[in-house]
Amino acid sequence: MALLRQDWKIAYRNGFFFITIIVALLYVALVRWVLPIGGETQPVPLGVYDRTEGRVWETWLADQPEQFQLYDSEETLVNAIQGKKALGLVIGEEGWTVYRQGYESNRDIAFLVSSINVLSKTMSGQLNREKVSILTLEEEAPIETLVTQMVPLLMATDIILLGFFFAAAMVFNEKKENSLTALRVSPIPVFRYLLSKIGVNVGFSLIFSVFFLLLSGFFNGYTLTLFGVILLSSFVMSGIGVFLGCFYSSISDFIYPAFIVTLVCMIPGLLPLLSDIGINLPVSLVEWIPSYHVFRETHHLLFQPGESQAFRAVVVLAIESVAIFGLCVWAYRRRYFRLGPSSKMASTKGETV
Amino acid sequence: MKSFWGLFAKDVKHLSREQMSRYMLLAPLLLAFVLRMILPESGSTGIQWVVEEELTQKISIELAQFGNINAVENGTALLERVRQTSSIFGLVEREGKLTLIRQGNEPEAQYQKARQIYLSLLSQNDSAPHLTIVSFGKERVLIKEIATAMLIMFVTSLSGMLMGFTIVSDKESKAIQALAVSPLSLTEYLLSKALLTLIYGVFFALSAAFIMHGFDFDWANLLLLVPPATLFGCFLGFLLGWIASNQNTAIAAVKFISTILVVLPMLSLILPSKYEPFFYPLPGYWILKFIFSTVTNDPTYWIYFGIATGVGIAGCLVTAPLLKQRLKLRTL
Amino acid sequence: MITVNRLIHRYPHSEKNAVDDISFHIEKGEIFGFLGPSGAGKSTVQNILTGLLPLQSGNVTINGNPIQKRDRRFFEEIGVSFEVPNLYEKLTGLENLLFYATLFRKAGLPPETLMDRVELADAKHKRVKDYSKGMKQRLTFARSLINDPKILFLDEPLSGLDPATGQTVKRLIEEQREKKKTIFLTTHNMFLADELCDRVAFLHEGRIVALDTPKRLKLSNGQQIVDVEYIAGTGTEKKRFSLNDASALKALSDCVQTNKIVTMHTMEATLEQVFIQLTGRGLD
Repeated sequence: MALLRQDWKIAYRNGFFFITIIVALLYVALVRWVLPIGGETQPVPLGVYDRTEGRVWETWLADQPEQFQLYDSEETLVNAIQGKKALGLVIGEEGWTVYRQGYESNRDIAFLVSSINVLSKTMSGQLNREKVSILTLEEEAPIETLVTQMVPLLMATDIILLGFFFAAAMVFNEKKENSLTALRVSPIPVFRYLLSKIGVNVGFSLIFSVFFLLLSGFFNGYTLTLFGVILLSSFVMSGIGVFLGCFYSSISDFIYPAFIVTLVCMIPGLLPLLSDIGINLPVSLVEWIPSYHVFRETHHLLFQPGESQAFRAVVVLAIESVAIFGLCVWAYRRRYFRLGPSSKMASTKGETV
Repeated sequence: MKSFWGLFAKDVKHLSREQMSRYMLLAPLLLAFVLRMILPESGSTGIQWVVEEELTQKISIELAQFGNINAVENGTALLERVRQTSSIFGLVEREGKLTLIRQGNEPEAQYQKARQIYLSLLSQNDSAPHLTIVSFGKERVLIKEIATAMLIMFVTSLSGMLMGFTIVSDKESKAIQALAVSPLSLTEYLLSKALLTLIYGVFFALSAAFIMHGFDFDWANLLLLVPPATLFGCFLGFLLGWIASNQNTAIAAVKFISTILVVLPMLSLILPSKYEPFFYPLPGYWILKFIFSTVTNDPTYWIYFGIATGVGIAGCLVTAPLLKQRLKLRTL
Repeated sequence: MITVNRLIHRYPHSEKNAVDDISFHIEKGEIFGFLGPSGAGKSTVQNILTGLLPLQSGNVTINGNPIQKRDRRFFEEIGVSFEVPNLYEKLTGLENLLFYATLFRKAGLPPETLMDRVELADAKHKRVKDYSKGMKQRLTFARSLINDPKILFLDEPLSGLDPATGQTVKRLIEEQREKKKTIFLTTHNMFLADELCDRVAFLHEGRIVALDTPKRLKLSNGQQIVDVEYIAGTGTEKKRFSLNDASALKALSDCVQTNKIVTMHTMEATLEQVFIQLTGRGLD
């Protein structure tokens, strides 16, 4: 406990706690205000001039002023929309003319044309409603928004990566200050040293999660289960940070492996994008990435219906936790604590070195 | 002049030997490549479709203009795909009837779009009015321009951060004390750092623009970016040098500085324009606005050039005295 | 050359003055030593003189010019060696010196020659992060000579050096004296101060408690005693004689004439003993 208290004090004085809270608050602001705004759809205004005989279209379109702005000449229409974020449509007997700014994508223009086509058929009564068939597989499914897409990604990456980077930074600090050398010649067993480092950083991940979920309004009965998954995931990630910290001397030297770890942690969140470009990774492989379970269970938290895989997550993460902790003990014992009292060599000789 | 070039050469040497700096040099170019690969040339991802192979032959030409088509073997695979992948719509034909299949959790706007496209497919054989498309301006890909502007903003900011790391290194190694008892003045010191920002910034911006657009880019306009972008980069670098006294703190500070001064302004390009006034107090907003207006050949870019340059100068004037207190170098 | 008058300095949030009303003068071409334990205020005085700390109270002039009016010319003429090496670890030893040389208009010894002089020739292309503590200290010292300065400020120049390399550095310091350089040396190593300094000031809790040549300090505060060891019978015997007493002097003379002398030592006080006598504490 003394070592844990010590590590907490050092981490606190290095500003880790401050950083955790600030980043959590930034994410709360992102989720509560920015993402909902970003998810708002902004239909592009469409200016229309109807020069058909009888101006049949105008009568029909006037009923939908929020979508269409009517003009009484082509010249007025062009002057009104040129240089603005808008499209123009001139409806004539001989054909239709679409005015665009130039930056609209071809797909969006194609969509406009098809919409006009449908509109034309609907107006003239040529659209056969009997041909229309739409099947919805899950009527009760909650709608995906930018928030529900981004929050699991944020949780799965930043929250557990926080522990990863902080844990490594703590080891680098100790190496630089040479305080690790002092611990090597103390009675502290290596596993206690490692547990303390990992424990402090699991704490930071949990603090982050509590702040973020509470202030974002995502607290419900399932949240406690999610915390369990976060605890284990951040244990694994902090363990990886401590493990890699053994082999490097500063954050600068460590940056490439850190980059690779970060990329791997992002894979679960990027699965839909990867599948869109034809890369389909089997779940049996992806589930061994610690962030996968946080991603999945956060998704379950937000989309309450459906099955939770929390038990499987706990099993997988528990195995990984034991494995990474074992690796850390092996690495640190071999590299730093070899001749310390906790080493096997000392204990078999029955003396304190 | 000798000390000016000596300091510059030392910083370049230092950055080339520092892993973190090498990573920061490579990362933006890597990002440019990735963006180039994933950004659609058509300017929009459109709607994602999954269709049985048989049907693909019939409707692929019409459907391809609205989005990407994924072909599957049979209906079971199609249903699984619709369930598994977010925002993908299925089309099946049974007994001459075309059916649109959705999961049910798609955003409403996307569903309505898919529905419209489906309805247009239903009526495609009927006679359609003759269509003429007139473009006011040169056809361009807006999403690519937004990405380019963001990327240039990001890389020029990064050059400032790199410069900031050299200041932090001078402080952390305490070599700044040795500089403080030499004839080197603060002016020479800061100008040398500014040159570092300028050179890296120009290199990054040129590389990023080339990767994104190849030779199809107004390179003369890019040179206009140099003064305000360099000044903004210097402001960020001086700020970082003032805040952080060691590498660990610097890395944490970069996260804060870049989030507030670089990433936050980028949101102004993708949020609805009615929210733009919220970004006015951010210096990075005006830099980004200038970069974007330059990339899109907006005739008002001169106004933004003035504002961005003014903002950059103001930023440097604020941070330079703060640095002077920390570095203890003599002023002239 | 350097005149300090009623210098006071207090660090923020401190209740005591780190430097408490001290005055001294250093002549041109003199090696002036500040001797005192850690925390006495030695480095504080040096930092004020070199501009790393602001002048809070008192007057300091160098060559008749107040230090508040320091300009580029002042920094062209000084060289500073720091107690804690402050080098660019990613650069090699030679690159560190080459870079620092570019900061000065005046050229001193070529960096390669300096590296040879401090016995770092074999390590000049090695990065400083791979240097030992002693190597870094020597490089820091070498850097202080890069511009052939007129005034040298040396803060614990022998810190971390073994006796052999320490001798090399001492020789270099003596060379500077022969070139009539003014040297301000701070140390808690009494042997160094005794060997090198023309005058020494004892600093204790921010105040100068004594200022004189090392010899005069030892003579005025030490005991004048001779210890004689001579053969007596099958073994040896020791006797102590005071040099201040006439009868004792006669006894010494008789002893020397009548016995076979094995060893004879005069018992001068060391600077540390003088310091302890004056302040009640040691130099460590």
